[in-house]
Amino acid sequence: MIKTISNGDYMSDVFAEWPGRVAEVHINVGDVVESDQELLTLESMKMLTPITSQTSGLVEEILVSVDEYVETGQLLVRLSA
Amino acid sequence: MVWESEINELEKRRELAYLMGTEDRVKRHHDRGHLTVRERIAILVDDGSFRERGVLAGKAHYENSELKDFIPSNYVMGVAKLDGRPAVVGGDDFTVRGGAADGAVGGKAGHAEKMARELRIPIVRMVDGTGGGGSVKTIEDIGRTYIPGNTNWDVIVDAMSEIPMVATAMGSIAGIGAARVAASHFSIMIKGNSQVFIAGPPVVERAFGQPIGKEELGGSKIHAHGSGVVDNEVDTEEEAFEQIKIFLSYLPSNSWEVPPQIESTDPIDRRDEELLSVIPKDRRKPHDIRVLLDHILDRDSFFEIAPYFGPSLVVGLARLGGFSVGVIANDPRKLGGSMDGAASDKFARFIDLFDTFNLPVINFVDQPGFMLGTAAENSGVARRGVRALAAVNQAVIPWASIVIRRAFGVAGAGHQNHSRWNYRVAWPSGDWGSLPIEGGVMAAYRREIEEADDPEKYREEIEARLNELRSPFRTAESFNIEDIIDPRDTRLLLCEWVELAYKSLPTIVGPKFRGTRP
Repeated sequence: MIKTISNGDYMSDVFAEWPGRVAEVHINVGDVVESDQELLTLESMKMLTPITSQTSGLVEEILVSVDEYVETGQLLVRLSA
Repeated sequence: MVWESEINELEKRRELAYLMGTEDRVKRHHDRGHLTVRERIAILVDDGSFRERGVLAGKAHYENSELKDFIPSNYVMGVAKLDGRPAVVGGDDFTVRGGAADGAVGGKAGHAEKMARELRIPIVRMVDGTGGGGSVKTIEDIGRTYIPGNTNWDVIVDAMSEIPMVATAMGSIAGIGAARVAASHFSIMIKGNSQVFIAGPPVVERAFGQPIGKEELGGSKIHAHGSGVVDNEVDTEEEAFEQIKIFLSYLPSNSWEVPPQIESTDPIDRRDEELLSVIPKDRRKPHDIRVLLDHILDRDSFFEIAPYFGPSLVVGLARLGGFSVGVIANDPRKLGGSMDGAASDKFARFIDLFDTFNLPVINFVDQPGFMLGTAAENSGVARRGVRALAAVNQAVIPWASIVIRRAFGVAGAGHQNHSRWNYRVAWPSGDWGSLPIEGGVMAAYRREIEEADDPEKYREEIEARLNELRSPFRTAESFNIEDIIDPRDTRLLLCEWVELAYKSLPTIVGPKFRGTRP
């Protein structure tokens, strides 16, 4: 799953690489996160899969909430470098 | 000494060839963070082992019959030793005409491929620039245009079933260079300093009217991740050379040979206690597959390939008791471990690789099934998936399955070729079926559930009944699963199996009837 370019900032948007149900949200807007940190948990194929950040940054926007179903490619979290 | 002056000329011509392109070109290449082809070869091969072929090929300029100037052919190749084992090594010289065909002389690249095939040894291709691709300058040189043909493509295609082929993308690679990277068993590119594309930004911009950066078009973030064109990304050229040698160390020199065995310092009866706790009791909690593998395979022997492409499937080379094996596993943290289109492609390609080079395969099965949903359907998972399952059945190498957790559905069934004997055991955490009970109950008992007074309670009752029958020990009673083992015994049992498997390998060596495609 290719992350498409967004706002010219290739790495900072966190997309769903696979579909699933948002089981848990581990962050709040305004948190500073590190690379590889688990931001959300997605239940997919009956497994709780971690959605991690590819970069460190500040959580600007969380676009999904618990129990919401997300599709592959859907934008989940916006980070700023 | 009759021929002394000719020997002096030979030396002088060699020295001119070692200069490669102009000093200015070499400096620019260095400034861009790249090594020259001769530097790359020198670092890659065992000291003093490079026997170059065709050093005298190039374009000479004479004045009054005196050699005035010499531009060497832009492909450097020969036979060398890599960690003591012979291989053909070749690379494009970017400092001469950017590696393009109008700087090539005499088809040295094709000669190298043919040489590797005849000698039955691996070939390492360090691709740079256009990798011998055409240039419009040739039109003026020959006074006409020409219909293209990929010279020596037949050699590469046939060699895919015969000798290991490793390719590295060492710079900006376009055209036939991209094909020469992808037509390999294992490829590497340098993060941030190499790109692979059909055509580069200037051509793409003219075609589509939009500017695009070369990293964005064909950097490692594209090709070592989503596209799967290149297997591994590394940070430096030196790391690429290391990975070339690591990859080749597991494989035989050709598909007629059995893979090498090395001395192992890791005792085969190592019995790590952690294996009894690595799979969580909670069916929804994922385990760390790479930690699990490290407890079983020879310590530090797991060389993972293409980790970011089709990430729900983990593939790589490893050793057990010093014997090379091919490893397949599932990563429950990615897509829940399920097989999507990319994972299917990866599965097929690496089974073919292991089968081509006579590596027994161990499949650590934790497979929930093919991926569901619109994205998966749109990616053609059914077609790509059956191709993967066909690869399983076409493989002739010895095959072991350790069902460590889930085996569901058509993908779950594809963990082995059921028409053969295979070594198979399961862990007590084994959980299997055509459908998982949770989803399957609604499908099978829908009418009864809907007609019940309390549908939710009735559904739960059915699930509870079925869950009582879920224990893997019941499956073992019928010999449907051949054995359930203590996970801590996995290493020893696999080491014993591998030693037996290697005894049968001489009966299956040679290029496989199905032919290996890139």
